[in-house]
Amino acid sequence: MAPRRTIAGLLAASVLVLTGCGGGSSVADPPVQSSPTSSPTSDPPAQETAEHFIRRWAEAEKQMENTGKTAAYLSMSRQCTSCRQLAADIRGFYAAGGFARWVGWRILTIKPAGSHGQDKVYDVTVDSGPTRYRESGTSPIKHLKGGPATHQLVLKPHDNSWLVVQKAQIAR
Amino acid sequence: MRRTLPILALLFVALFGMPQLALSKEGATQCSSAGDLGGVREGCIKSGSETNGYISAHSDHTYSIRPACEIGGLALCAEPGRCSIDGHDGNLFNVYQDADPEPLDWQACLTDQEAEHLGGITPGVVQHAFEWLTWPVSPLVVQPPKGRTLVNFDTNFYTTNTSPTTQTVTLIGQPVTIEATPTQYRWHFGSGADDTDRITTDPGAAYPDLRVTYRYLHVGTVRPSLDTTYAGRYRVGTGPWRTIPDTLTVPGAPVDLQVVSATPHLVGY
Repeated sequence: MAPRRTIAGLLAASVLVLTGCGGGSSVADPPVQSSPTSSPTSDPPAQETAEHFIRRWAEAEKQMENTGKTAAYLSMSRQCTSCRQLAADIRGFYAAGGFARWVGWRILTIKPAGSHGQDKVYDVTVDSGPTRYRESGTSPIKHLKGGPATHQLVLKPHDNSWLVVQKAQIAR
Repeated sequence: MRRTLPILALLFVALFGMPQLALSKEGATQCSSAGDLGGVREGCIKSGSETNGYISAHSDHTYSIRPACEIGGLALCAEPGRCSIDGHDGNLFNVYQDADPEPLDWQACLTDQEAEHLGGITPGVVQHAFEWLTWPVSPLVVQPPKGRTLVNFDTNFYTTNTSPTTQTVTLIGQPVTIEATPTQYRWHFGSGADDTDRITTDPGAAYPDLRVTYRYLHVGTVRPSLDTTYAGRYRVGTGPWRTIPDTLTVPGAPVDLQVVSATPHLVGY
């Protein structure tokens, strides 16, 4: 019985660990909505700030990777080539029987970095969680370790909100 | 308890996988490009100081820069895409090592000063703009006119595209005038054999000055065309002219030409 209890306990602990990782970003981030339990993927406010949009978009990227459903993410990422490529990768994984599991970004800072006409540039410093993914039902499971990174997002104003039109990573 | 630790380790591996080094592309050491799946697909940009640091750390190589259209896209542009880094707006460049035609897998976001310091407007930069711009296709004039000529007859060919064409573009924030001069013509007479093509520096001339002619030996339809090779030079602002290293050939569009035979008829006056 003891080993069974041990395994059961470990599983429970692991679930707690996973749950803790998954919720890490929303716990550490400054509150951006009135309700602490509301998800960043809920409807945006009437006039969405760039910061709120970025957090909602990051959540959409996480959801996309974990479910294979790309529509919501792509609707927020028009004209963003690397976003479209990522969505195509994810769609391909799931279509071939693969999957992705990612706990998402823990956003540390969001800083305005300039503007190109109406487009606004933001540097987003994150600590990305590890990723486990499988490109098809028969391919081996692969891992990405995650870690700190600074991403640059170029946002275009769109219908009281924003669209990501470019995503890059800044060397640090 | 001793058995618990291996189980815990196995469970960790099952859940999170074996810790391993992330994939890394050569030259992208300062972008954790494989930190997550999104990062794998992202372009990596470096500031001027990061770019200088990279070049200093690889002093056994030479580097050059060329304007890039967009972050992550390796296509080149006559005018670089805009970028912002470290609070500065700049222009986006691909970075090339030695004679490698492929750029490094990161891009530099450079102010005009930084770009100039790193080679700025070089003949190579202008060369690409020269190739990227559209230059005139030489009109091919055939005599006799109206798309008909005679078999076993000297058909005359010439073009009116003989003068330099200039275009001004902005490269690294500076106006650069590029001048393309037709220096060589390749005449495809369309008779079905490549060995009948002729290369001249002469644009030909209108009748009766027959300088580029061809005699078709068979009746039928042919599609002659004319390719034009341009030599280029450029200048920054009102500075001195400099030669663009390589020439550029613009292919011409074929024209329809009927080769017919003539039957003599006696006519009375």
